[in-house]
Parts: sequence; structure tokens; C-alpha cells
Amino acid sequence: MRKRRESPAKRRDFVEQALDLPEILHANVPHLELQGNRELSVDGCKGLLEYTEERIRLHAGSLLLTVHGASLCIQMYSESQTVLTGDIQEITMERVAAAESRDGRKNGC
Amino acid sequence: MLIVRMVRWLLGYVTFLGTGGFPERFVNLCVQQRIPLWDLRRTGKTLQGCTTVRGYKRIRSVVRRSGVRVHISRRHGLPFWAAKHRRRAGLAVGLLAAAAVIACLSTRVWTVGVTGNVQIPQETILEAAEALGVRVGARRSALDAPALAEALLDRLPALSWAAVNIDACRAVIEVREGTPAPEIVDTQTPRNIVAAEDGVLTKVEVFSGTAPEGIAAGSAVAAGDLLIAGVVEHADGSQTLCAAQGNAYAELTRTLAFTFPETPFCKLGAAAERYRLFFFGLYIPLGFSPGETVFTVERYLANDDVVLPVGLARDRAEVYSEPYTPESRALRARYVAAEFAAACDALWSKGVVLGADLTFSLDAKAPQIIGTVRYEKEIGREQQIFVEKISD
Repeated sequence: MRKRRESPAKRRDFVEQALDLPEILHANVPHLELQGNRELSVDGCKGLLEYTEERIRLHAGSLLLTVHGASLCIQMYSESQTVLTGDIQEITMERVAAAESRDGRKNGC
Repeated sequence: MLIVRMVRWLLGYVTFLGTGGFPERFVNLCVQQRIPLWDLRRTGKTLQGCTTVRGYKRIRSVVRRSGVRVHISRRHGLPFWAAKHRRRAGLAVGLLAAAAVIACLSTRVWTVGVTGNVQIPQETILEAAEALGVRVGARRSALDAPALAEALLDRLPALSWAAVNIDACRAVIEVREGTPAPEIVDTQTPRNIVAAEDGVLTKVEVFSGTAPEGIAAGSAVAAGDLLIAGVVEHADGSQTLCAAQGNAYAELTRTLAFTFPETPFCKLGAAAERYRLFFFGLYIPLGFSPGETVFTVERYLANDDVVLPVGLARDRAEVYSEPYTPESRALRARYVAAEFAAACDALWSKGVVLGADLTFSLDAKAPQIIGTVRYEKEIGREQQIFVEKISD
């Protein structure tokens, strides 16, 4: 029987929990700052998935962020920080469960 | 943030428009390639954004891989502005000249101020400071504040303390005036007090010495009469000499007569003026010299707090050469009245006016003021007693 290997993500989670590291230091946890409904700042953005005037979808580490609004624009986009401005009406977050389970199946038995 | 916008403008950036392809892939690839992007806007199928000049040069590979067609819609920043105006040499020369002037003027003293003076006029202190090198336009690095303060004290003995503070482009001279030594009254040299003028005594105050008989309020004295003798009589009959001290006030009469003179006056015949521009200690003439005898009025650019070393000086020379006799009665009367007022002012400075018996004829063609004025003043004058020592 092949030895089960832990995924790097699970190993990382174990270390972070053992050391009691705050959530903000987790590599995959994005940091969001919302100023009213005019500006959203996202730290830890990995990629832009969709961009229209009414909807912006971002891959932010362990979350998929969807921002709904009007006249949305990306004021700044870089590896460290993404700033969205416009008339923000809704922010939706989904866990990136499919990506984690894919990692687990690849390293499992 | 302003500083970020300033840096971007200094380095230059472009606004581009992207159409077609996959805009999201385009943005992700730009970030991967470390091409800075900002102000991204999506309008329909068009993506508008800004990037640096270097970033745009590297955007070609991203364009190929994402299928987005990109073109520049606008250029911003100093490099583009300079390229557009590169043929205008005057602009560059002007900018360089302005930078040079500012750099040069920043090393100079712009204003010199004085604080702490009470009796000594500010102009006296400024003149002394100017002689030592503290003036508008002087180089700040050449001013040695401690040495200047010491030199200022040597030049103006009335000062007890002085300091020269150079604050940016302002030189402030702070001073404290010394307290003058009290006058030492000589109480050793024997002397009398005699009358300096004729008059009728109104009051005699004897502090030291003896008033002779007949010297009291109401007695008439002539110039030279003894008012207070420097002699003290003791109980045993002996006498010693001393320095007489006291005050003797007398009533004097003065006759005043003011009439309009018949000799003609001179009115302004010719006047010439010239303006000079004052700039950091330099006087730049803006015309020909008006002559030798001029009076100058200077006006500086200033507000309530600061006086700038830039201004305009007007030199004016006036020649009073045309004979003129005023015919107007009012003018003549005003002249006579002014003379009378000046005489009264002089009398008041010496003593107290007790009364006057004057006739005013100011409405006549030949105005006049005639009469007598009674006034009281101190008439005592010290006179040393010469003592001859007789040897035994």
C-alpha cells in the first residue's frame, strides 16, 4: 500500500496552527479593506479572472472574490495590492475548495 | 498620493487603449512581467489604462500572448514635454537662469532687522551693522555672528549687549541698551548761583548755601546778581565755603512782533526726478541723474511682517528759483501765524508761559502779531568761587 503523503497546503496549515500564527500572516488569506462603498483594497491577489464595468472577479489566495457594482475600475493592480474603485454594491466570497481537493487527490494514494 | 503622481509625471507615463483578445489575461501577464498598471477602466470591449514608458516598451510580448491590440492614446510627463519643446532654447535657458538665481539668492541676506532698541534709533544700529558687513545682499556664510556682535558693541558704546542672529535669509540684530551713568554733581568746588537774566523772582529754593538778604519772591534781579551764596554760617560765627545748590525762578517778559516780510519768496522753478530699482543691495538706475541735491524716497515690497529687499527708489531734485510774492491774505496770515506758533513753542520748551498781551491783525493786507509774553523760567547760573590761598 502506498504511503499517504500530506499535501503542502495541509502541512502548512498544521504548522500555522501549531505556532498559533494569526490569520493575517497566512499565505493564502487575502486581506480586504473597504472604504464605504467606493474603494476596496485587496492584498494577496493572485489573478484577475473577469473584468467588466459591472463585475470584477479576483483570485485572492484561498478565496474567489466577486465584486458587483457600477463603473468599476481597477485603480491599481500589482502583485502586492489591488485597489478597486467605483460604486460597489455587492462583494461575494467563495472558497477555492476545488483547487485544494485537486491538490489532495494528486498527492494522495 | 501626490508624491506618487509627481514621480510618475517626472518619469513619464502613457495612457493606452486595448481592444480585442483577453483583457484579463493581458492584465495578469502584465503583473507577471512586473509591468506596472494603474487606472484600468473597462468600457464595453475596450480596456483603458496607464503604464510607465518602460512598461509600455515591454508590453509587446504580453500583447502577443493575450491577443489584445494596444495603442497609445495619450502621453504624459516631463520627458514628453521636454521632447515637444526641445527646440525652444529660451525655455531651457530661462529655467536654468531661474534655478541659478534662486540658488544664488538663497545664500544671501534678504532683510536686516533690529529688535530691543529703545533710545538708540534703528537707523544708527543699521548703519553700524552695515559698516561691519551686515547688509542686504551680503553672503550668509561670510557673516561671523559672535565677532559681529563684539564689533557692534565696540562701535556703539551705548549698547550693553548685542547679538546677530542669521535665521534663513533674515539677519536679526538683537540689542540691549546700557543704563547711562548718573551725572555726578560736584559738591566740593565752592560756587555761587547768580542770575543769568533780568527778571522778577517768583520762587527761590535753597538746598545748599545761603540766600542773601533781599533775595526772595517778588524781588527784581539783574543779570549777574547773587541769588544763592556758597557760604555757610555756623553757630559760632565762622563761615565755610560750599557748593551752592538750589533753583531760582523768575518772571520774564518777552516782546514778540511778527509781520509778513516784504522780501519776495522763491517758488519751485524746476524739478527733476529719476527712479532706481533696488534689488538685493544693488541700485539699478532707470534714468539720468537729476542733479546733486536730491532727496530720495524708497518704497519696498512688504506686508505687515516681512520687507523684501526689492523696491523702487525715487530721487527728486527741486530748484526754487522763481521769485514769488503770495498775494492771498489767507496765505500771508498763515505764514505769520506759523512764525508765532514756532516762537511760542520755543518759549514753552524753556519755561512756563504765564500770560500774554498780544494784538492779532490777520485780516489786514499786511498781517501782524505784536505784543508781549510773560513767562517763568529758571534763571540760576553756577559761578565758581576762586579761592586764593595765603601762606603764613
